[in-house]
Amino acid sequence: MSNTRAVAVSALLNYAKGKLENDPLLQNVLVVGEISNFSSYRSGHWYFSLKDAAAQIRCVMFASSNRRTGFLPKDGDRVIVRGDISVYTARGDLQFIVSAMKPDGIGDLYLQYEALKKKLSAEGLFDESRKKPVPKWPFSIALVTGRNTAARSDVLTTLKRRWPCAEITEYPVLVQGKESAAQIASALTACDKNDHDVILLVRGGGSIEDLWSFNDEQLARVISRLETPLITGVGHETDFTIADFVADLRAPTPTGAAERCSPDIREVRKHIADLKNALVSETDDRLEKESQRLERIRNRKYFRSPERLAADRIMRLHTISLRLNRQIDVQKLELKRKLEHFEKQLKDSAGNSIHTYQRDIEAYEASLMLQTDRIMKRSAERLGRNAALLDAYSPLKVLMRGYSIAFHDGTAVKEISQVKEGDTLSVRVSDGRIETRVEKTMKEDQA
Amino acid sequence: MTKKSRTFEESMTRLEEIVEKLEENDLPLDETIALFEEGLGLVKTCGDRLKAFEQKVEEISERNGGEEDA
Repeated sequence: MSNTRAVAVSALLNYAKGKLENDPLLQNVLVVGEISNFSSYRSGHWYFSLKDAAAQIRCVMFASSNRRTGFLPKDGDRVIVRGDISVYTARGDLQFIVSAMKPDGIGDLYLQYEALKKKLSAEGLFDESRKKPVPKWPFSIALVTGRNTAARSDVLTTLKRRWPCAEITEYPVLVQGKESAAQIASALTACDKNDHDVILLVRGGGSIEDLWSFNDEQLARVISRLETPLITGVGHETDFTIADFVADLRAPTPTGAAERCSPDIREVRKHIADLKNALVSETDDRLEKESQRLERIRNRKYFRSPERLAADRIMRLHTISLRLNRQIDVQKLELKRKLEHFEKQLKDSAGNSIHTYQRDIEAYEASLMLQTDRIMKRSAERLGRNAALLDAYSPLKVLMRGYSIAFHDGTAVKEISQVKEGDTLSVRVSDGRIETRVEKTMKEDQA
Repeated sequence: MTKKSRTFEESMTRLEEIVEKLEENDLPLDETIALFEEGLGLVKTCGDRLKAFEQKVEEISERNGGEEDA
């Protein structure tokens, strides 16, 4: 720009404006100051001055930017703003176009918050391993929150709907302000002594200062020492307080905290019903299985045709009684031989003290008779007993019913493996024997 | 934990345990039936308990002047 040629005002100001707007040091800068002459236009734009003891600058914050601020500033507020220097050429004013605004002190708070978070995290207060499990079915719930707050009624409504069988004990506290952190800490300590199943610490949404008591170091330490599981629900989903990090479970909102701490009673009832069904069906299955097992046993061959059981026994008895009879015959023969021997001896030595011999013989005879008698009697008894048994098991009785016993080489045929084609069988029926020949053998299941 | 929730939790845990055992299906029949009986007892106990707690809480809130702002 030449120093000798006059320029238009607008050219001057546009030049100045361009210079300022292209200076990186004057763009996107943070400025701290106090608000004055604040006015909010119907367009939604904010106009105000930012000043300190010695200077001030006119500021504009357009609706598109101030919508995100989250609070309405007023004259006298100390704020930190971020923005760009510009020139309002129509008036020739230097102007600061604000893109973001926070109440002063917030910057400090953020730093404090970050520092405390780092410190406690390093101490391990946020470790997952420290977190206590939250009970599934809490019947005693402590509620630490502000008196008559929306958060409180949200929690109560949710609990009443989902889990109406829990007893809720309320511990009203201040949820913001200087006293708040200490009140919350002592309420939590009291809860811990009262043997609740779970503690809910909740508060509705607010600015970072509103939630500041939940970022208190002492409170964090009290929480870390609690023996009762603690669920927090502070602010909105995006708010994370130190208390949230130390708590055993962090829910995004008060309602969320109530939901996380309570089962849905309908689901619990359904779960119980499901368990009952499982119980019944498992037991039914088992009984069915057992009765099938019983059925299988009942179908085994001896149960299906018990005659076979008897037939086997009869055969055995038969053999035994045959042997018995033979034995008796042998004994009889022997006795007879002995008797004849004595008689002969007697005759041979006749004349020689016949009398004595005769007495002796008589004695022998008597003793013999006695012995024979006894043996005969015992044999008869055994025979009688066996005969009774025999009668009971009599193959004849079975045979009379139409069963028959087939013998091969003197052995009763019980399985097809005992015979082969062409073997001769002697089939015993009730009144005699049938001699027959094996034509063919077949397994029962193939028959 | 309070006594109430402890016993409820114990009952539920036992009930789940019983169902699991029955599902394994390798117990003697006598034991199966005993577990079945115990299980049905627990189902009743848990259901009754829930109902009783619900009633009790209702009584307590009525006694204390109903719900203020729910």
